[in-house]
Formats: sequence, structure tokens, C-alpha cells
Amino acid sequence: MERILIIDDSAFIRSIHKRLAQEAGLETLEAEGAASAMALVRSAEPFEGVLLDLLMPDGDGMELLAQMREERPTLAAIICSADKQRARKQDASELGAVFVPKPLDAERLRAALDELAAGGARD
Amino acid sequence: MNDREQLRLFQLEAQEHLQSLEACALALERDRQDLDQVRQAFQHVHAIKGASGYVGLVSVGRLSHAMEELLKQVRAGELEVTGRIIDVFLSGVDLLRSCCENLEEPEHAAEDVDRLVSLLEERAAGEDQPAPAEAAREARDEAEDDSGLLAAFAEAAGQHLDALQRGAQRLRDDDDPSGGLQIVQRAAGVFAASARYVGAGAVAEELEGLREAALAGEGEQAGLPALVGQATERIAELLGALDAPAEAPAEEGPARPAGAQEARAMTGDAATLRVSMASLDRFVNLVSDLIVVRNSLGHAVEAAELDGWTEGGGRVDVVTAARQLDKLTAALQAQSMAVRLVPVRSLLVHFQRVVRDLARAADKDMVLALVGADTEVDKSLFELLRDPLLHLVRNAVAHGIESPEERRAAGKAARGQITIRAEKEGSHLAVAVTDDGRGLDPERVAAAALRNGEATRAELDRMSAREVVDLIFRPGVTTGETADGISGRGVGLDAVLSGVKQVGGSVRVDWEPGQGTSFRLTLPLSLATVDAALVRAAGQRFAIPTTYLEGSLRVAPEQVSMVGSTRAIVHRGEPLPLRSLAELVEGSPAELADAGDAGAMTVLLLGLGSRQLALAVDALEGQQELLARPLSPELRRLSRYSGASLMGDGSLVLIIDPPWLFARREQQ
Repeated sequence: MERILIIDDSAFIRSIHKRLAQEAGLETLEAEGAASAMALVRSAEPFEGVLLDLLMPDGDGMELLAQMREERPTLAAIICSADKQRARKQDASELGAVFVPKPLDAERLRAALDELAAGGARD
Repeated sequence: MNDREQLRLFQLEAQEHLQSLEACALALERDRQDLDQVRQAFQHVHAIKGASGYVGLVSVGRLSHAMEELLKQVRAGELEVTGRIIDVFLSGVDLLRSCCENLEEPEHAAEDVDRLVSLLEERAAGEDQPAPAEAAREARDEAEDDSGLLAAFAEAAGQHLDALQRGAQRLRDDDDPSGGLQIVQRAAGVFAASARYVGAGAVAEELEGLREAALAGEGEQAGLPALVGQATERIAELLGALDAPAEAPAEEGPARPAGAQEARAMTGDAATLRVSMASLDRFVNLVSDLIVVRNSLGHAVEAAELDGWTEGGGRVDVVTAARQLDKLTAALQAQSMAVRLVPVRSLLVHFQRVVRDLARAADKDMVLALVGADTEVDKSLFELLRDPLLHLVRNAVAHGIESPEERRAAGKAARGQITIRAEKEGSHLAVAVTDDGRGLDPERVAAAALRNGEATRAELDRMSAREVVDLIFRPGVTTGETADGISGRGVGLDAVLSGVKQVGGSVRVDWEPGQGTSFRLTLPLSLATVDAALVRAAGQRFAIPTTYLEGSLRVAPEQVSMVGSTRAIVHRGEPLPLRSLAELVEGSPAELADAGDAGAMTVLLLGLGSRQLALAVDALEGQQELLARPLSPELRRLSRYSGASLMGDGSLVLIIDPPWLFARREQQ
């Protein structure tokens, strides 16, 4: 895995995620929300993974992930959200996504990113 | 991006979320069924909660979580929105703001958060359902909140006293007193406002004295630190005596003192500016064009030199390039001014909260309407407008709008309205604060002027109502004798408006008995430029801002008559006092009559409010847009000049502050 798309409406959170991803040896790409993420998915821009929140102003993270997978079925995902209940209920693992709870547990996110960087795209 | 930039980004975003959150809460208070506001508020709280973990602000996380839970209850229809709930929620916003601004958990924050979280949980548990049968309990709650208010004040007092001591220490240690003076001034101001709010008038007076002293820049050496020492001792004594709960006013709400809240609501956000990508792109394009023109200019000059600057192609190209350069630099200048423009809304929106809190404290019912909030102005104007508007809004709440009973008795709607209207007028911005209250009372102004020795009874009797009312713009005249703690902190309009006047702005008041009052501030849209008339007097050139200029006349010597010991001319049937600029700036009487012997003289007509003045100058040299620069402190102390401008020929022109001319006229 070489490149990951970071989606969050907060530039602050994007900057933190970007730093952690780069420390894990990943290149990064950023999107502010569902609409710009989908635009990137449909573009020729190469990326193999995505790091996103569940709650965003212009859409739902789970739905967005499903939509993105329609275009790029092998996309790997990390979901970073404060909404623990939903992440469990909807079973992030079923979607082939790693769930990292907010408030940020930097170690867990690092571990998830390292794993992503080491692995390839999803089968 | 480094850590500092990241933290700054966090603060910026938190600030924006909190501002939206506050707006949601206020909108929800107006329309308690508006679930869309609840949904939006939830998103903002959620975003703050999410980000707080990244910077290790544990309290922010806990508090925003409690606020989220409260909103969930409201959203699910399990909790009815009441004034008390909005109060607690807004206190939460304030506390979040302070934690995010300081990026640290102040010692008191944990306790404040605990208190607020449990209050939020209580409210969320539905312990605040207002039912008629529970009126008694509600009243008891309020009584408890009063003691809570005093406790909060006592706690805050300790911090304010610390801040004062710190300021005094800075004054002793630093070579430059400005830092220390600022700390003392600010701490004393906020502390005084809180003291007034809880009814500790004696403490407030002590502090207001201190603030005045700091404002006046007194004690740059030894005076002020000693003064702070004495004042804090006396305040500590007074605070000790304040334990009796009887002193507490019957205020509702668990919030911290309104003054402190208000001060917080009004600060921040002026130092940074968000610029759209489109705007930056225009810059980049202009600069690229500029480089192209620079290159072609270089080639054209080479070509022109080769053919000896004859009428040939090279010379023509130089001229063309120079023209393009001219156009581009103008465009670049316009673009750099435009990038500083922001809608005045981001300043005005803060006043929603101010009016709400003050109205609740004064037991009055009113709304604030913003008109023309999309007007774009230079962001540097915000700093200048903030204090005057706050003062005018406070006045409108305290003195303008009547109590609901009084309004009904007068046949008016029980709910009053305050309007802040912003609009552009040519190169000026006009901001009017209008209320539909009882209207200014000339008698009150007259009484204040008498009390302050600004006018004698006999003088007042001769004045028209308009002239009497204009006295409120005089230094030292303040009608703030109220005990309500909202308005009248002993600072007159004159002091509040000094910044506006320094940049060539003006103010006027209109009122209608029983119908309302309107204060209108007018100031240049761009602080950097002043449109001024250039005049010559006493062998020097001066500039007079055209804001005050109503016209110019040629006056023959025989048209000048004497009224008592004053020279006067008749203009449109009205006698106008005539002064000479040379005489006013020189401070010694010049022989006006002699100057007039040579023939007709040039006279400028100046207006300030309803007053007019004829000013004789040696010559009127023209009108020009000047780039104004602030003056050195020495010159500023003279108060007769508002700034200086460097002219094209390298000479310096002083910009006269016309209100000073009027003040001079009346002294003589």
C-alpha cells in the first residue's frame, strides 16, 4: 500500500491523521467530505486505502464507504469515530474496515496504519 | 505543518464551531420547536468533542459529551427547551471557549466543568421541566443559583486580584509599561463589570478608578503599582464583607457574571483572516501578468536604447508596457484591499448574545435585528467598532428599551427592538444602533452636563434640545447613574468613540420622545485613507477630513461682524462663529482683520452634529485622498491632530481633528 485518502471536515484532524499516516510510510491525499471524496474515487488519482469518520456534514461514513467500494472494490479502510455503538452494531469488520475509536488513541491508529502500509489492497 | 500550526488550526476550528453553536442556541431560544437547530448544534458539539481528544483536553471532551447528551434528549422530544436549559447550555459554550482558547486546563476548569456537567445531566434528566405547579420549586432553584452566583464571583475575584498583582509586577519590572497597563486595565474592567453584576458597587467603584488610572497611563513609574496594592487590599476587605447573601440581586441563571461572559463573547477572531482560493488565484494571476509586463518592459527598454530613444518601435513599446504596469498595479492594489474585506456580520453576530444576556439581567423583553450584515468592510474596522457598538447596545438595553409593563402602558408592543444597521455610503461605512424605546431625555443629559460642570444652567437654558443632547459627546459627560450594572460604567461616550474619531469618523444621535433613539457612527471604509481638504494656514499645510466639511466660501472683510467679543459671519440667514485656523493652531490671536484687508478670505464651513463653525484659512489648496499614518505619542497627546500623511513631494501634512476645533471654539 502506498497511498491513503484522508477524509474529515476538520482541517485540524486531517493534519493530525496525515502526519500519522506519513510516519507509517504512507503517502496521503485529502478530502473534506463525501462529495470531494467521491470525486477523487472517480478520478484517476491512485490510492488504495481510506481513513474516515462516520459523521460528516455532507453524508454518512458507512454509506460513503459502500459507495466508494462500488467504484474501487479493493479499497482498504480505517474508520475513526466517536460513535462506538454504531461502529460495533454495523460491524465494521464485516465491511472489511478497522475501527479506531475517538477520542483519538494514537497508538491504535498507528497500529492500524502500519498494518495498512504493510498489507496491500483488500482482496 | 508543525505542532504550533496544528494547535492554532484546532483553536480556529473550535472557535468557529463555538460561534455557530452559540448562534444555534440563541435561535433555539427564539423558536423552541426548531429541531433543525438542535441537529446543527449537535454536529458542532460533536466536532469539538472529536477534536478535543487530539489535543488532550479531557475536560473539553467531558463537557461536550454532556452537552451532546442534552441535545440528544431534546432531539428525541424527551426534553422541552426552557430558558434555563439555554442558560446552562450557553454557560457550557463559554467554558468550552475558555478551555479551547487557553489550550490548557486552568486549575479552576475541572471544577467548573464538574459543576456544569452535573447541571447538564440534571437538566437532561428532566429535572427542569417547568410546570405551573412547580413554580415554587423553580423559585427555590433560583434562590440557590443566587448563592451560586456569589460563589462564582468570589472564585473569579481571586483570579482577577492575581491578574492585577501580575500587572503591577510587570509595571515594576518592565521598561515598557504598556503590557502592565493593559493587564491592569483589562482585569480591572472585567472585574468591575462582574462586581456590578453581583451588586458589589463599592468594589466596582474601586476597580473603575483603577481602570481609569491605567487607561490614562498614569503611574508609568511608581504610582500605579502602589495604587494597585492599596486597591486590592481595600477590595479584599470589601469582599470579606460581601458574604451576606442579602446583597445578591435576584438574578436568574447559573451562569457566571454577564460582564465576564460578554467580554469573552466579544474578543478574539480579528487577528486571522480566511482567504478563499479564488481570491488567492486572482493574486497569483495578477502577479504572473506583472512578471510578463516586467519582462516586456525590459526588452522594450533595450530596444529603445539600441535605436537611441527615437520615435521608433522600442519607445512605443516602453510606453505601452508602462501603461500596462499602471493598470496592473492598480488591480493588484484593489485586490489586496479586497482580500481584507469581510462581511460585518461576523462582528455583529456577537451582539445577539450580548443583548440576550443583558435583557435577561434587566428583566426586559427585546430582540436584536441585524440589517446589512453582509456589508463587506475592512477587518481592521472591527477592532474600532467593537467597543463603541457594545457601549451603544448597552445603553439601548438599559436606557432605551422600557420594561414590558411600561411599553404596554404606552401602547407599544411589550417586546422592544434594537436594530444594528450597517451600510456603505460612498467611501464610508455607516453603522446605526436604533432602539424603539423611550427616546433620549434632554433633561437627563442636561443634568449630567451640570453635574460634570460641562455647562451652566444659564447656558443650558439658551440651548436647543438638539444642542443639549449633543453634550453627551463631550468628555466627562455620562448619564450612567443607574444602579442596574448594565450601562453607565462611568465611561462616557467620548472615551468610547475616541478611536472612531481618530480615523476621521463621526457620530450623530437622533431621537423621538416615546419612539426611540438612534446613534449613527460613520467612518472611512478603509482606515488607511482619509479624504481631506488641503489648506494653508500660518505658513503650513494642514489636512481637514472632508467628513466634517460642508462647504467653502469667499468672505469679504465687510461681511464679518462682531457678536460680543466673537467674530461672526452670516450664512444662509444664520450667524456662524468665525475662527482662524492659524490662530487656533498657533494658540495666539492672529490679526484676522489684517489678513482680510488684502481682499476676500477663504472660509471653510465645518459641521459637527448640529453645530457649525466657519474657519478662515489662508488658502484652500485642493482635495485629496491621503494615506494616514498614526502619530507619535508626543503629537497624539496634543489631541488636535488625528494623524499625519506623507505627501508626494516628501513633506508631512498634519491631519486636523475637527472636533478639537469645536472644543477650542467653546473654550474661548
